[in-house]
Amino acid sequence: MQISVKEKNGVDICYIKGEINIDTSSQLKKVFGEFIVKKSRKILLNFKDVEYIDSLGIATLVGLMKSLREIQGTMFLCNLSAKLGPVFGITKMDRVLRIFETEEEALREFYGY
Amino acid sequence: MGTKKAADNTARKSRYFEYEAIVRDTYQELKKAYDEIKESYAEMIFRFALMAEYKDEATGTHLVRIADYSTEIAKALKLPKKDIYYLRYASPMHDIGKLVIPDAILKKESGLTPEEREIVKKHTTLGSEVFKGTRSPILKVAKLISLTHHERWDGTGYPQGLKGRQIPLFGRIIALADVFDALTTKRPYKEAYGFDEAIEMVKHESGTHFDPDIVNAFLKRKERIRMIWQATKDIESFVAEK
Repeated sequence: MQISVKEKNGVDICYIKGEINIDTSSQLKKVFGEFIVKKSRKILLNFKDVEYIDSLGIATLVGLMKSLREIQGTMFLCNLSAKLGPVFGITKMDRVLRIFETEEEALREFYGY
Repeated sequence: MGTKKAADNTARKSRYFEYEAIVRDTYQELKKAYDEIKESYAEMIFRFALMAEYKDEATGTHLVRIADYSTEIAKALKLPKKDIYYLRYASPMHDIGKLVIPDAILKKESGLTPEEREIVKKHTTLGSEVFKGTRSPILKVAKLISLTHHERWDGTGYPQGLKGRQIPLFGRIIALADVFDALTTKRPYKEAYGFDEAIEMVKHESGTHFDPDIVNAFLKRKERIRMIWQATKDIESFVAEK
C-alpha cells in the first residue's frame, strides 16, 4: 500500500493506493496519527486507487473518525470504486461517513460553496 | 531520389505514429470498458450476497468477517494467491440459497419442526443450483461452498453427508469460518459466546465437525482472527452510536 498526502487550501488529501488490510492498515493508522497530532480538522481520503478494504481497514477509518470527533474535525471520502461500495453499505459506514463521487465535490463541501 | 526517399520515410513515420495513436486509444477504451465490467461484476457479487443476508439477520458485517476469516485460514494453509482471491470474493455467497427459503421459516425464533429443518437445509443445494453451469472461477467456488459448507468432517453433515477429504477444501474452510462467526454473534434466539469461549468450542469440534488441519490453521492465526472480530465489533458500535 502506498500513501501520499497533499494539502489543498487547508484540507489534507490522503491518496491511498493498493489494499487496506490487516497487514497494511497500521501504515494508514500512522499517517492518521500524524493528522491528529498536527490537529488537521479537514481530511479527505481519495480512494481512487484502493483495490480492497477489509474489516481492519474499515476499523482504521472508524478510529480516525473517533479521534476527529474530539477535535471537531471532519473526514470525507471520495472516488470510491463500485466494487468497494457494497462493503461500505453492508457495514453501514455509508451512513456515518460522507462519500463523494469526485475530489472536487468533496472539496467544494469543505470550502462551503 | 534521396529527397523522395526521405519524404517517403517521413510519411511512413507519420502514418506509423497515427496508427500507434489509434491502437493506444482503442486499447485505453477497451481497458476502461473491461475495468468497468470487472468492477460491476465484483459489486454485483456482494450485493447479491447481501440480499440473502438481509433475509437472515440484521447486520451484514457477517459477510465481511466470513471473507476475512476464510482469507486468514487460506493464508495459514499457504494456498495459492489465486485461490485466496477466489475465496475472498466467493465466501460471502455461501448462503445465497437462503433467498428462496420462506421468511416464515428462516426468521422463526422458536424451534423448527423436522419438516421446516429439512427445508432450511435445502439452502445448500438450491444455492449451488443458482450457479449451475457457470464458467466464472469465482462463481464456481461460490457453487462449491454453497453446496458443501454444512458438511461435517465426520460425515454427519448435509446435504450429501460427505466425509473427510471428500468435502472440498473451500467448503471445509467456510464451514469453520461460518460456525465460528455464528458462535460469536448474537442472534434473536441466543446470546453471543465470548471470543475465547468460541475458540475452545472450535477446538473441541476438531476431527468431528471440522477438519483438524483447518482448525490448526485457524488457531495459528488466532490473534489475527481476534483482530478481525474486534474490528467489526468496533465498526458496529461506532455505527450504532451515531
